[in-house]
Amino acid sequence: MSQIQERYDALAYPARVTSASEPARMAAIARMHGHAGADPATARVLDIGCGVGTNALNLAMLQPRSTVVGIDVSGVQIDAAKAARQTLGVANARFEHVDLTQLPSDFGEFDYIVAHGLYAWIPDEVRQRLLAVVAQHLAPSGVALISYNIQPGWAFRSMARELMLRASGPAEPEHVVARAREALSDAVETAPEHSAWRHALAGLHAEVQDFSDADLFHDLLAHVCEPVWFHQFHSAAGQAGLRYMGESTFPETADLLLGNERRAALTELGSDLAARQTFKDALLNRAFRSSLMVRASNKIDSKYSPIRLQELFVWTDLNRTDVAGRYLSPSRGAVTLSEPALARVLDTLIAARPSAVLARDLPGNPDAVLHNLVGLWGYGFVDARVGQTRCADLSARPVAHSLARLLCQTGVVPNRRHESVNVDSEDAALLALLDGSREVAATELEAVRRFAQAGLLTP
Amino acid sequence: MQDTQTARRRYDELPYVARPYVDLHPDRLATEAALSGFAAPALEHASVLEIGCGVGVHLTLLAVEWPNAQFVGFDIAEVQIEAARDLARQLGVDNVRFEVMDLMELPRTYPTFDYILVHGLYSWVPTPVRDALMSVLRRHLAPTGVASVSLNTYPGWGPRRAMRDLMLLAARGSASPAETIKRGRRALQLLAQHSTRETPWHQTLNEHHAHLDELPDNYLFHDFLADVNQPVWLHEFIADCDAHSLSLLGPADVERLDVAEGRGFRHQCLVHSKRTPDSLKPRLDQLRIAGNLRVDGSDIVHDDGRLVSAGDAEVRSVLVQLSALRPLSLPMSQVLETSDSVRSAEALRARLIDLYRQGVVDLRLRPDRCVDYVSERPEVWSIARAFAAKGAFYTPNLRHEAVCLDEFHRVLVSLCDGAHTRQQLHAALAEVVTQTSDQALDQQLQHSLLKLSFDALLIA
Repeated sequence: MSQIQERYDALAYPARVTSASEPARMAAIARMHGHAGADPATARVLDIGCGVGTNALNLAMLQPRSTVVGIDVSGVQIDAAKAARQTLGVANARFEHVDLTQLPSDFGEFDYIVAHGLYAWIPDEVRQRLLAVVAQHLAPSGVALISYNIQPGWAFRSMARELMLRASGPAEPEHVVARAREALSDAVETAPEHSAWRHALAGLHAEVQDFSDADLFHDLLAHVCEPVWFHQFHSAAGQAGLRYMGESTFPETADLLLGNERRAALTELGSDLAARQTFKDALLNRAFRSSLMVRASNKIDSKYSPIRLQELFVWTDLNRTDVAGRYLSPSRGAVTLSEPALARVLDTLIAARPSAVLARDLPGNPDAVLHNLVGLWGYGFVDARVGQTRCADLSARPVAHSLARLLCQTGVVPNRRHESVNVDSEDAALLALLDGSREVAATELEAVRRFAQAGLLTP
Repeated sequence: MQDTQTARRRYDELPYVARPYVDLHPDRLATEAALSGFAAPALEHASVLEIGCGVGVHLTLLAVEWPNAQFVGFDIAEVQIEAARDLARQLGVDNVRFEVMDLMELPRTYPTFDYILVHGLYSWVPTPVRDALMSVLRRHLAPTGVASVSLNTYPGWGPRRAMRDLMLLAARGSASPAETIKRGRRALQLLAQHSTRETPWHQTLNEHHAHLDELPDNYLFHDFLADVNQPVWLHEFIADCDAHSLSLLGPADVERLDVAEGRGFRHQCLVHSKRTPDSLKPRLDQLRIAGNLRVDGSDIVHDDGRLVSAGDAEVRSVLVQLSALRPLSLPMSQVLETSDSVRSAEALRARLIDLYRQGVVDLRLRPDRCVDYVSERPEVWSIARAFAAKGAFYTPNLRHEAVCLDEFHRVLVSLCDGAHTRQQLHAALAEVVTQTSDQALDQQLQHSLLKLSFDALLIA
């Protein structure tokens, strides 16, 4: 039994979905790069390192005609995934307990491959194997998501990790985590005031306060946790026959948030794609990347012409305020859009929720609308996908997404847009009751309306 | 892997910056030994080896200071050894010998030395050379000898390594050291300027940009951007020492202290593991204490800008005394006499040693060579005058420190030969400095002579 398998058998990784791993989203970004991925509705999807299967199950439930396969090295986690699949009756998902390095070559070809939270936490030789497996099992026009830890975001983190690991020594997971937390607190206290070292330790200390023990154990304190520079990943992927397409979210790939000064600095610093992206990480001090990869035989065009957006479905998570042009973003607070054309797009999208809107159906001059959408998407005010979402609006006898109902006690549930939604205990109790058999009471109306907006109701 | 040829070429193209390192003075090694309960050979007649001596400034200055001790330095770069020999000739020193030698090929018949100094090697050579270095220390350090090895350490080098990697990435394909340095510096500048504000990363980029901006190109090239620059955690270094039967001097929890401070560099003293502390306090009674401190109102401020917290009145009074005595040192025994019991004297000593570990005060065994007054015909020691006359970046002082001088002070230093009166100095400087009034120049001269005295440059 490998050390990695042992660690995950001892303490399972928390169940959560990764929005960017939804084929409908990956396909949308691929299209912006001039790459037509397979239809997400009928795609074959492989989730490598699927853990207890939450991500894979949700993908399968959102696209019943697709096929989703999840593999993991931990038998305990695969058993949990199989049990959840049984409970929910998801016929188009399959789970297999198999070590990545032992994957048979006839395992099949996939249109979308997800390898999230894996690369940084496996030894060097397994990493090369992972890239080779992705390249080998990716369909000719397939798209893969690979996430990994990168420098320089780990410049301080690796130091903190090392001293936490040294303090904890070999012990049971809960002791390791407790001693590590203590060591980090001590280090913050003893570091010189006003030093970057102290600020870095204090920042990390604040960050891990919100980490569950399991998160900390499998992330920062993992047996292997090796960051790479982007240019190193790029060259390793190239050797395996994979080409870098872009990041798995449009704002991170489109660079609109960078600003002109930084873009000019990058032009001076980076002579080629790998160097430029590496220096971009250095400006933003990024610690993590989630990249979309294709087979090397594919051509990539990163001009992001607006016309490529017209067949995509778009939606927003912004909410209107009393002031015209002023919106509230759940993640970024208040947003003001002075351009009336942009506001018109957002208002249309908000009215259509929980459904998304086909971009070419949006009111206004089509060229201008598409142009504006690229900007809104690049700034993260809207999201886009291939194909309509399957969320229901408020009805007399609403049905909550069954995976959300199954997981509602955990406080974080997946919705039907493949996002994580936080639910408090009151919401959780109500969510569990919504199986389509009972009518919504007047007192519950407000909450159920929120569920509908949050994409938690099933048609 | 970096081979001898490459290393030699890198140093032949751009010699390493030449300066004395007080942390690498054999007297410091003897002090560290004394603090750990070991006697160390008397420096007056000691044999001293420097491995990787570069252009020999450090060793030649030691040879000037200790005319009856014997000094040997070797280096792989011929150009540097030639320069070292030239320097020794120029300064008329005959108790230092320089030779071209590859550490990997050092004959087993090579003699042993009382002190072995290794600066800028351990972290800057590939593993096999590192291994050879530790074996050489084990073999050629005299049984009662003390060695000092400098190394780059984590956690301080965590972010520095990231900066170095980025600078080297920006300098990829450079045709010359000059181009590597230029492109590396520019990359650091752009990153310092444009990285996300109010992050530790932005802070550290800007601190290092400011710091490296002041350092000469050869430091940047041979240290920060060296082909090999492999920092270690101190526990890894300790294991390496163990494997070669060498032990660290200093406090037992030295790694905890490094981590607390986020240190990235240290000079570490080593002795043979088989040695046991000689007696309870060998030479501790000979220790002297000094500090680059000044009193500012109720504060005590170190020259590096740190506010010093004295902790209690007894320590505070010692620090105030030291600030008044500058640049002279005080015998520790005299300091401890003020304590009213043996126990409180021990406690005071322990607190002063703590301050030494924090770099607030300096402990040493050797007596002062400088004076604390400015005479009518002030005299800067001859070596400093020779360096200043050559327009060197640093000027060595009488404490074996490198003092940075601007153009005005370089001229002043070269004029202070013990023959010129203050009035004559004024007249000579008036010809160089044209833009000031007589009175302003007078004030500046007075201030500057005091500074030369504080910087331990004046002799009787």
